Amino acid sequence: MLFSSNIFIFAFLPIVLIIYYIINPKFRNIFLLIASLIFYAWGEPKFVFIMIMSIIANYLFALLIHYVKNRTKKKIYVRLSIAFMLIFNLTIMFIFKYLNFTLSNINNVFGNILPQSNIILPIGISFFTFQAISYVMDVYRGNGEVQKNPLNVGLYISLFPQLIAGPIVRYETVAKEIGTRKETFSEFSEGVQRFIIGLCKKIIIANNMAIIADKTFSTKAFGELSVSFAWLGALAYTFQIFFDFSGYSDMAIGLGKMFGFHFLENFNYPYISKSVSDFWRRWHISLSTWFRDYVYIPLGGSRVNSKPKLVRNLFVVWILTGVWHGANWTFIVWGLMYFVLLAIEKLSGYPNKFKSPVAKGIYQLFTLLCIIGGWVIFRAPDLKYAIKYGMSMFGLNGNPFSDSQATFYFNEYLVLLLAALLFSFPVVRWIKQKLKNKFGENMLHKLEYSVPVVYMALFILAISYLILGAHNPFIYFNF
Amino acid sequence: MRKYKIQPNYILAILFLAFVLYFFANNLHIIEDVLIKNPQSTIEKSIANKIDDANIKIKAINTAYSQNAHLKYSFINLNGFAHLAMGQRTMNDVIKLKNGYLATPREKATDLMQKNGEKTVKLYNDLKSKGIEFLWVQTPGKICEYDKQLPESFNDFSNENINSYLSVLKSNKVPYMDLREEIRKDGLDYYSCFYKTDHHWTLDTAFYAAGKITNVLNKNYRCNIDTYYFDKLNYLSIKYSDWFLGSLGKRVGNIYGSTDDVFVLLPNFSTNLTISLPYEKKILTGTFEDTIIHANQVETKEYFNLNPYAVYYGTDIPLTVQQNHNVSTNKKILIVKDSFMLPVCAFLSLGVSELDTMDLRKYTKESLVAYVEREHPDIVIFSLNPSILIDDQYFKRLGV
Repeated sequence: MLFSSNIFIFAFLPIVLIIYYIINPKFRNIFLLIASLIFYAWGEPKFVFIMIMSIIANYLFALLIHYVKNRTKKKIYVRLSIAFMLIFNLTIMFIFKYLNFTLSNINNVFGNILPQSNIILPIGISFFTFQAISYVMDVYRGNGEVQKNPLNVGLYISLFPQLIAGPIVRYETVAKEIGTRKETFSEFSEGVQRFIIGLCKKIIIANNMAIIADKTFSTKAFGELSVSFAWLGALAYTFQIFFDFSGYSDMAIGLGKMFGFHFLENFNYPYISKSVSDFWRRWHISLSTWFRDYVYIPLGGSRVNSKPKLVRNLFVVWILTGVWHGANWTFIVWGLMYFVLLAIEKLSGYPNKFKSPVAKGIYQLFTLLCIIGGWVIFRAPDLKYAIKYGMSMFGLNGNPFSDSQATFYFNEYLVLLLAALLFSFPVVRWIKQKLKNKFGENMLHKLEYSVPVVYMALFILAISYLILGAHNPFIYFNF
Repeated sequence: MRKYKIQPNYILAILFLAFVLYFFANNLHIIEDVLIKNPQSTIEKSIANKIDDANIKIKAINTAYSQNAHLKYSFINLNGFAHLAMGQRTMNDVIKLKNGYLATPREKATDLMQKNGEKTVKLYNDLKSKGIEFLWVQTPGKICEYDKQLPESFNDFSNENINSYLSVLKSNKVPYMDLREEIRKDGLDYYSCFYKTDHHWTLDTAFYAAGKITNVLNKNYRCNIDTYYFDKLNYLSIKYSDWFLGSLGKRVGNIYGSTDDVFVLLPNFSTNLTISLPYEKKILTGTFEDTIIHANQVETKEYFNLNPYAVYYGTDIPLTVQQNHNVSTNKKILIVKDSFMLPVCAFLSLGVSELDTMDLRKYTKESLVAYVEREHPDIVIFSLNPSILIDDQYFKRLGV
């Protein structure tokens, strides 16, 4: 089920809210678990069995590791148990996500020797698998209590607000809240506000940006794709992916708050990053910290005694980051691009060594160009397409500088492009601060009473797009 | 600092809950309707089958929830207002032409046109061998070949597609009349022949087309249809101002798309018709108003729920067998039609004694050739608008 769907907003959510708040609190977890399974099954009922299998298996793995860790002194048994757990989880992910990709690459090299399977990718498998691994690992590390009740593990892995497209909620973040949490109307209200923000980001901005991006990225004749239209498409996709994914995360965080959960932030204005390292501290924070804590640091992280080891660690993390996003060479190359950029930054010490604000500004611009270039690779159906598209961005396909399509789409979506640009910066925070400085906190507080009207107006506008049946898929569902 | 008891967020949460619960209550019947229409089968089923059943129901609920949402049209209008405010010239796959008319451009499909043209040639030859005469009537698309009015960067190939199709008919000497050319020759304003918000031509243009077809039938097919019936002076024209929101307008709302006037023509002479609807197992007898007019389509101004264009016949009907008891013409005519010809057939029925109409999109009982072999009309008039001309599946139903 999509958050940005009529059925979710006008049926699922009100039903779940009503029942959740009228039943006895001790039944709330089991109710949320059932609701989450229905939420997941709504898209494709049969895949819910894969998730249930993952829940049961990881519940048992955690119990096993907890038992082995506390009852035996031999680390080898613990390590073996963790290895089994990783093999189990990663095998499921491999079969559903990477098997066909692997087979097709083998066939490309050796001729058509292996048949392709007709396995369909279950939505959000990467997210719930990583959460399941997080649960067992956090139990192993003592960062959360092992759950005796399998229903609680089920709730953690399948909790519908963050189930399908993140953020990847770490077990340690919500372990206590699964057992004891306090829902308040104050937090519920904050959750509503956050949900509306996310919905508007997704429906009003991301979906409209998708129209431009889909148009340019459906180009087959690169000689006819003008430089300006190629850049407009790349920019539109840059905005689309940010407002799509961060919108989903906002909705997830908001929904979590409505039910008393607190998920960590997943985005922090990534397009104002001053360097590539800074970008990855601001973009999909839950994924980058997951890889940092469960892969990079266990490998030694940055505190290794040799540069080759540091490069190796970075390489492992970034190739895995690329692969995590999908079974396509475009994602792998996209991950490797960030490996190269981050390795250069870490080894050279730049841009931190820059003293001049001009040099820092130029590097910031360079970072942004790398991010946009990365999204071109990410969006392209294959590497050849990405190269051709990139060449069109620089007029290397004999393509014109501008054309009527670029002008039309720019004018048609100008207001939304400006809105996307504006809200990529912490503009609301900045305005609030300015108002506070000018009129004082008391006045600002009074002004805030107009905010519900603005939010409701935007919410109703977003609903109008939904009802119109506009273009609406979430990009990160595929990951 | 003074503390406010009710925070702004609280007001937002209350408004949100009220809004969501209001729509939940008003949309609840949609789920009920779907479940009633798709009841749980009592037959024992495997788990796999039960999952498939659940999947079908889920999809049906999703679709119904989107299509029948409470206050749907108010939301469409709100969205149209937002599009207007942002100066957007496209909305919901509909383009606003420079002259304010709504349209949906067509992709280039000249190869398909050649293929479908060849099928029509086959049909013509087949009918010819049976001694049945044939006339292709090409209705115009909304976008004028010589004055496209499209915003920059958009292309429409409906005219190129038609030209490609007609070139096949021409090279094979299949008789046809191109109403685009008739409109041009007669100096009519092309866009005024259409509704601003609909993809169809106006009822007045349909009347004009009926007259043009009659002239060709009398001249080239030795028919004896009295042109009295195609003189507007013999009709009463009733104007319904701002009454119609066409199919394209319904997609974008009347705020974005505006509305159209409708002129309904009613005969000022006595009429006596019998119309059989074999699919519906109905026989209607009486005047033009009794048998053909569906006044309910214009009785009230309901932009989103009524279709004044369908005031004649009410809707596209798979098959009609019509007799006009007040005239005596010498040829039995079959019109294979789409919605463009709906009002044209209504007007032709007033001048032709034996007229059958078939809509092959809906007539699935047999192929066109099979029907013709059984009913043996003297003339087959075949007409499709550019949007159906590119439908490959449609041409498979010809039976050639």
